[in-house]
Amino acid sequence: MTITKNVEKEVLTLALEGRLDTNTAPELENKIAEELTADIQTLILDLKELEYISSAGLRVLLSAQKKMNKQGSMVVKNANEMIMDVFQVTGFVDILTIE
Amino acid sequence: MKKVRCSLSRKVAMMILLFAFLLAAAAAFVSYYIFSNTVDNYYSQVTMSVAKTAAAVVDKDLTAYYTEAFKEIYLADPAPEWESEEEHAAYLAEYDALKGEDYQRLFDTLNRVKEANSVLSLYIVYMDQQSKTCVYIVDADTSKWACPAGTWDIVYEQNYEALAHPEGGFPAYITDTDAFGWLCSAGAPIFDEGGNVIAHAMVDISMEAVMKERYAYLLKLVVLLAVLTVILTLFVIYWMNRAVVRPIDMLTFSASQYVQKKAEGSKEGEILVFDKLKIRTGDEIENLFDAFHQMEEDINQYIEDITFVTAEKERIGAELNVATQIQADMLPRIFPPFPDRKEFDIFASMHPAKEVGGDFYDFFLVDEDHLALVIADVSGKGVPAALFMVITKTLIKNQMMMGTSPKAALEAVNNQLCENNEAEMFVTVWLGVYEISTGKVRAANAGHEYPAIRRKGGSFELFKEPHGFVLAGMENARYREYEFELHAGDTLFVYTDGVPEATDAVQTLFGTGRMMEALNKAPDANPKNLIEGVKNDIDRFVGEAMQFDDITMLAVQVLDQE
Repeated sequence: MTITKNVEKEVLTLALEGRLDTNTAPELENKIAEELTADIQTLILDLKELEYISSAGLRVLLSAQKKMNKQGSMVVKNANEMIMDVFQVTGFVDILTIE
Repeated sequence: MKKVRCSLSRKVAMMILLFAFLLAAAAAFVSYYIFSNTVDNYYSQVTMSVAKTAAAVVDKDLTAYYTEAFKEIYLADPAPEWESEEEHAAYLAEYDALKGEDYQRLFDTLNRVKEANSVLSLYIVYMDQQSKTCVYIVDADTSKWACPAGTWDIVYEQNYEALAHPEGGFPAYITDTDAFGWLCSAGAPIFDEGGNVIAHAMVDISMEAVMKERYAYLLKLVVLLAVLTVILTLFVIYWMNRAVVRPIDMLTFSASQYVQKKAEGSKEGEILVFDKLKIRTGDEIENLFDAFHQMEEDINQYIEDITFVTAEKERIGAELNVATQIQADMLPRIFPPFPDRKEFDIFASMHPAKEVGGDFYDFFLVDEDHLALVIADVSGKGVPAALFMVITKTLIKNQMMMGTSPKAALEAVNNQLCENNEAEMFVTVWLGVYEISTGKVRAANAGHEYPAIRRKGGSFELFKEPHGFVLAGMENARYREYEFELHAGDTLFVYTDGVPEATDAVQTLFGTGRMMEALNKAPDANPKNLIEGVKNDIDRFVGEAMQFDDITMLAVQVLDQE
């Protein structure tokens, strides 16, 4: 999986590419822990190039959402149809801000 | 250890010997060369100075007189040949006839010089440029070897320079002939008042004695050098062996011993071969030894560590095997589970991707008329997921056994799981209660896959019911409950995402489409055949690829009562 980072003032954008599963989820978890400083107001996850997400990946999304609930907001965008299905099935559509 | 082709000590000894020999030979050569050069130069100088002395002391007028007189005879017929002794004697007599008292005086002068300098021969010759010969004027010799006046000889080619420039005389030169042995010869010109060359005073000094001395010197030199070389060589070899060869041999021996013991799988625990060595040379060899010593310790430590780690790994492996068994035992897996209930047939299976899994299924009778059905999937895999699965399964069963509705049960379990969920795990659950007498199913879905239902005589279709959020994700999450009915011949199939997300070697997903196809292959399949059929299709699809996620399925079929 490839993670591309982009910071503009208090907006952190992470573009994910590839598969977010048990093997790659820790990578994203570490990246978020590293980049998500206290002054970040908005976290944008761009899933345009993301092909697959497993429950381990959902876990990282959930924990990022919880963190951002305390210091600002989190937006998930450009999720493909399959990933939207996963969000639908797991009820993540109710807790994530999806654009 | 490989056999040494040429040992270090032998190489070192041979090298030292070779160098010592070369050095000694060079020393002998240089020393001999300098010695003989000095002797040659000395003799050349002495010979030349005797010749010059003779040339200076002889009476010029007498010399000139006799030279002129003899020249007349000789030049009339230069370099004559005689057919007989008589003819030769007659020829010489011509010269004798010219000799007077003065000739004897000339002879005496020369002879005095000769005796005083103890030279082999001293004589005066006239050189004829034309015939390249010289003729004896007077020879200061009384022996039978004396050359009487008139005797002639050729001038050697090497002395042509003296022939062309007689005023320069003959520079000293050394010859070795059978007749005279080693000779040093030189010639000095005799000048008249006008500075013209009359004749040459020639000197021969024997070098036989000095040559013998020279060979004796060479012999002594060689013997002395040989003895010295041998002594020094032995000393150097001894020292090299002590300082270099022996320590290296010791290192080599110990290193190969280490390797050998390792290969034999030494039973005596740690192998310590360098520990017994003591090398204190204070140079690179000592450093090398220290490095070997350290490496031995490191390797031993490493082996100890790895043995420990391996044992630990085996222990964990054994524990995981037990854990696998325990987890499997936690799920109902005796089929049919309720042999006396003829109203329904049920089957389920769970295949963890690792030793233990995060998926589980469960079914149990809440009371005589209610069958609870659970299928769940904890995020992640392995031991953490398995531990979370155990809690979830227990909590859900507890809630359901109290007669709680699925919605209320999920809400209660969610809040219980949210407490102290530092690891931020979550679990998706489909929970249903089937009322056997009416066929009604009340269910709630916490972020789990859609169930599939096959009506009697029909085919499987996904049942898109309302979904709630996953369990343990958010505190106080609300879940919606819904109802549907199952009648005789109907089949309900629930599963975890390990089924549609089974992946082959090129990362292609099995997908819901293939799952539905697999489900609908045999329209009359009972739950057991249905689940085994789907599992076989997944296995065929995945092929050699590693199983990626836990695969869990549960199916219930309502049976015809007739």
